[in-house]
Amino acid sequence: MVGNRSNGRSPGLPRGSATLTELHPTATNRIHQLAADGRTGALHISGRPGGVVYLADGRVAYAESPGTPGVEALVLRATRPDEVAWAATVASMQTRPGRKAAAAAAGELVAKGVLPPVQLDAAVQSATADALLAMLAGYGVTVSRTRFVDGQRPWVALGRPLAAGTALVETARRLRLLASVGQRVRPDDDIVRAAGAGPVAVRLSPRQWDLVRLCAERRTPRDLAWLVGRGVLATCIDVCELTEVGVMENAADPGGGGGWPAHRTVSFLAAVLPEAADRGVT
Amino acid sequence: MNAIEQALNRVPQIDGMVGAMLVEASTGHVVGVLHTGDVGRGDQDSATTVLAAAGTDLVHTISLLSAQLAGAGPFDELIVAFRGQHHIIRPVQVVGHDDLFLLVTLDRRRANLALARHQLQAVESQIVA
Repeated sequence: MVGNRSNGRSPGLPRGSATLTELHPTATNRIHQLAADGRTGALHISGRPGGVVYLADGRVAYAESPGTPGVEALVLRATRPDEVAWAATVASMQTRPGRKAAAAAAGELVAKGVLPPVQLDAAVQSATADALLAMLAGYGVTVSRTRFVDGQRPWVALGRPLAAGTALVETARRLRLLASVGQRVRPDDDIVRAAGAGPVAVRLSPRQWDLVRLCAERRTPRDLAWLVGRGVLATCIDVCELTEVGVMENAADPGGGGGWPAHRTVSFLAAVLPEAADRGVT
Repeated sequence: MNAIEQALNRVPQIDGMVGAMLVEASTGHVVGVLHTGDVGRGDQDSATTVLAAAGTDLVHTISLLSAQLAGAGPFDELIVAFRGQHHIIRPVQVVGHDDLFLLVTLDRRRANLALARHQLQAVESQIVA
């Protein structure tokens, strides 16, 4: 599916990547400028994986990237329980026309009110934050150029669009989380069920079981995210914790985990207290 | 105000409640906030950020604990008691999204914890309706 796994281990984050502007000022400065000018339209970011940031009166209304499942995947997955059919839908969404068709189908469901407003709102917020992280920062992310299309609107938008600064602060927080879990699991690493794990004596949530079941064959957290219809960062964190419990392994680093201490959960507090995060991720 | 904040606003008044938020457990992303306190906006934002992150850390730690104590059953509720405030954390089930928790902060001088817990159990259904 999506992603780079040519060497079995995804490319590294640049050192000292605590702030986004250090990484891709081309994109973040452009977002700040368009926000300051109160523009409405779509900022197309070219690169790997690239993506689109939609602005409404200078506020972030939605974002999507080929590297992350959009709201269409989250909405359609919730209404299509059949796994084989869903895998085919996911494959079709890896092309631009396929994704457009999925968005149209999801748009119809949304218009019919199939999803409770709270669920839709949570899905749009999740997908937007996940896409911003994927296109602006992370392992092997590049930005080559940006192009703004005035007046272009997304098929779905946040109920309350975010100030650009707020959206980028959240992206920086997510980047610190990604760097932290990346010591153990990165979005494009191959993950397998731990050898001999069998029916282990641990209690897992239905969501965690879905991931374990899907890892009967090698998959990356990014692949898993599409298959379960959730964010890539959320899935990476889940997979990281499943390796901690001992039911999954990073195929590129079996039994290892780099500098990851045993019996430690991801620290969300460290991700919002930058000085603490700096000590943890460099 | 987004749909989630509108839903939080419909939560019946709980005595002593000074704030409530809905957080995505896997990422610590705050998807909706309701303030009823009278602290300054800037203080609220910073307190919300820290509280959401700390609450998410606790949820992850408890989940890991419950994974390893298989007999303990699923995580139901977490109460953190400070001298001045109670923080109550409850996982919220939304169709297709089993990844949200509600974090409610109560002023300990004005709140009745037992009554608040009882009222909160009804809140979940109101939020997802």
